[in-house]
Amino acid sequence: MGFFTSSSRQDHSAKSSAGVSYLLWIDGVGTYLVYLPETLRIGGPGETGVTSGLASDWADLSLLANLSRHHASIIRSGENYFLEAQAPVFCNQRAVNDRVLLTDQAALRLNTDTVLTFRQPTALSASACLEFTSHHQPQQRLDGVVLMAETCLLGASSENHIVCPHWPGTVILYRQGNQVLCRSRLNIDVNQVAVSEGAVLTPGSLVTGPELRFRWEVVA
Amino acid sequence: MKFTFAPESKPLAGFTIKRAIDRGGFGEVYYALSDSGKEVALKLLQQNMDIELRGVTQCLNLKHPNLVTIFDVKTDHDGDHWVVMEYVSGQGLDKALQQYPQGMPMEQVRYWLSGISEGLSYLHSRGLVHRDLKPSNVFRDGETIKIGDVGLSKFITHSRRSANTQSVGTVYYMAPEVARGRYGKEVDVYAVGVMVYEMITGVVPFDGESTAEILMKHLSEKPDLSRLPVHLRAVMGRALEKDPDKRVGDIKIFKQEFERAIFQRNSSTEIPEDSFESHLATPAGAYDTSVGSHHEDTSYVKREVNTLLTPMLFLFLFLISGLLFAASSTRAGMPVFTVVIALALFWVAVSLFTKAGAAAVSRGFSAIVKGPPPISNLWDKKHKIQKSQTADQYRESNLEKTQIIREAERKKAEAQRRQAHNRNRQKPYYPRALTPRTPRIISNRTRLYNLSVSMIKAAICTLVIVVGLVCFTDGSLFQGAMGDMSRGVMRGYNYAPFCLLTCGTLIAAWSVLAVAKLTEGKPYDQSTRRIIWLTTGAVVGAVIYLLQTEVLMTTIGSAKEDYLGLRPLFDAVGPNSLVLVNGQPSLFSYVIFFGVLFCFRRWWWHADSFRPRKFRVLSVLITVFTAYIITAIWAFPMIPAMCWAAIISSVVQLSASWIPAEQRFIEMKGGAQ
Repeated sequence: MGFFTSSSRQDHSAKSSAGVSYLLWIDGVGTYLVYLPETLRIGGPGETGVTSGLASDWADLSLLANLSRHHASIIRSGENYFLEAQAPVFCNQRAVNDRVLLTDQAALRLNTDTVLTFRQPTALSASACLEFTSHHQPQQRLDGVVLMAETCLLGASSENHIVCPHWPGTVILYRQGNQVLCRSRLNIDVNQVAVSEGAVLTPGSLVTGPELRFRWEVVA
Repeated sequence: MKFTFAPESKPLAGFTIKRAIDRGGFGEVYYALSDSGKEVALKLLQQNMDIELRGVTQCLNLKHPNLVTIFDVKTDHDGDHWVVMEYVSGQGLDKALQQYPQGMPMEQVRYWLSGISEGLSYLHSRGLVHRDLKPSNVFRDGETIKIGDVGLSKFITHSRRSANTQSVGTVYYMAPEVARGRYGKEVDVYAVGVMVYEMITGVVPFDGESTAEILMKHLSEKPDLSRLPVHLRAVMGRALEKDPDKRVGDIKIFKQEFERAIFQRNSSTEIPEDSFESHLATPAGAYDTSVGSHHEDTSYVKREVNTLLTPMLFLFLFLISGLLFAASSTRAGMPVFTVVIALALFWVAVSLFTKAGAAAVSRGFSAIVKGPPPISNLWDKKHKIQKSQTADQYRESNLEKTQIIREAERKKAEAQRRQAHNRNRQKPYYPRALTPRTPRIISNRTRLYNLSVSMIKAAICTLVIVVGLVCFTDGSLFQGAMGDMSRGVMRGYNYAPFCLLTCGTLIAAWSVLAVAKLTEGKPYDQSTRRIIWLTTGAVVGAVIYLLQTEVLMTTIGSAKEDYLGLRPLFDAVGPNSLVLVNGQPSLFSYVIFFGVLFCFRRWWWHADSFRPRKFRVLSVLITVFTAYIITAIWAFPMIPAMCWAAIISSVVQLSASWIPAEQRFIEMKGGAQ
């Protein structure tokens, strides 16, 4: 464990690249960050004058909160997630010295008052979600973060990663190679083209269906 | 929910719509970003535009942390009106209510009420009334409660109270006078009363199947206050009064009374005699908390007067009769004396033969012995003592009740927290792999399609394996040491053993595939599955026996070597021999072998599309071993049995459909129907 050092800044800034995280703008539901890489770095605001909605040079998720620039990391390893502390972090009220295995509904407190809730809503998918319990948000307001492993489920029931209360069915986003595809039992259109099998989501894709609509946008 | 504008639309200069938020009674609401990145909510006015525009214009310069701020009203190129508002991200009260179907903890109720009352109080102080307060218009943005849709507010003056005739608002929260087109700030107090009732109990006070029914209940029915804690009934009753003049007129007063009721600082909240509150059932012998102190005083005095009336009357009569007796004994003589005695006797009779009278007599005697109580005591001293005692008792009992209720609530909340914690801790960890045990819904069309493909594959696999057997062996595996299957096929004079092996394998493999496919994904228990497979095996055995003896009229290896020198435990079942005179297996032998083989092996696991691997050699070996054990128990040629078991197991695994593990979840949740 250790606080921010210049080496970590160089290492991590090199890893950040466009196209590894996406924004889902879902009508009637909210805005979600779908994050694909295995490591999510969480930190405070970046340098003054550098404006980015979600990330900074040091963190992939830069919260407007009293945090170190790289405060903690959430690392996916197979089907497990670990919280790695770079600064004072508590998991379920217990201080994290180095690394801790995250379980469903774990409350992550960063520094004194920033609280995130880690969720794995379904045992059938290794993807996980982060909720902003203490209302500390990035500059671009989000309703949640999905740490997408293979699949991301959107639907009405609570076992979905993104709960869309009034949707008539489930929509699945899944990875295939470097692409993210979308599939559903519902009759959905991607960019106004009806799809029956999986359709590739490209930045700016608009998915519509009965009582549902969302836009898939790459994070700049 | 369909919305007019798509994401990334720019109907209003300077703003980009990112997504739709909701559709309200007055139009669609979108989340948008200004060109510089400021997030706003854009409301497109579509219905009741005049009302909304008027209201919004009036509220443009209102500023309060508990009200959703309106930034501007704009018109786009098409002439549509847009309201640019502060975006509130948090949860609405409606969503919060859904989380607590049995009612919220009191702390949360107080928190929501506090924010609502602050915002409303500000609005009322500016001469405005909201008119459309409902849970979906109240939000929690971080730690702040915000009231939205303030644009519906109207100026209220006494002269214009009755001017608005259009009924707007949500009927569950609509005050009775709104139906008559009357809007004062009391309608907001009523709506808050309904919301607080819902927050505490989880249900609205007036529900029904139609708008008319709910409205009628608002107008005529008494709310069921018995659902509320005892100490809150009075204050809630006043907020839910039908008559706006009797209702709590100020939201701040309501909030103060509510807080006071919770903390029992003053338990004597008054309710008018003619309100529904006075009809509430009270336990026998206990003072009703909803009844005001004046009621208590009056009833107490009446009861005291009734208690003392009888002895007073008794004394009065006694004194009068005494005086008369004294007078009559000196002047009037016997007639008067007789009348007095008669009256006295009549009175005594009445006293003794009626219940009330008996009680009165006993009180009378008591009064005579003790002497009549001084009037001053009756009306002042005793009453005061009694009153103060009653008030103390009343307060104590209420305080006790409140403490009990509060303690119960605390315990309930604690239990809920503990339960949730335990639930999370004890949440079973499921392996993420989907196995044949996973119940799933498969359409009949999919089953039929998969089965057809598998059966074709099974036919090809069987042919390949059997032809390979013929080409690369002499066929003794199946036909025994003396068999000539390969020679017969190669030289073209005897195809029967080849056909028996091929067709027998095919019948068995198809049966396995068909039964497995029909039962795939269904949550049968083990015993049911075993019975199904036992029956299938028995039928397959019988069919193969008929094929061998009646159609192809051939033999399978049955020499002593084919039993590997072992002697089976049973060579007969009851009176039926398992071995025919020519050494060939009988019908019973076939039925038992295939029946037991199908029953003991998990064939559905072989053929299920969610099996761990497409082909497992271990499965084949276990099937062969099972065949070996069966033939060691019940007489059946061992080498052909193991040969058949190996080929059937291989064919089924090779031909049955299989979905890779990473695709299963997608197939299960999102597979096209």
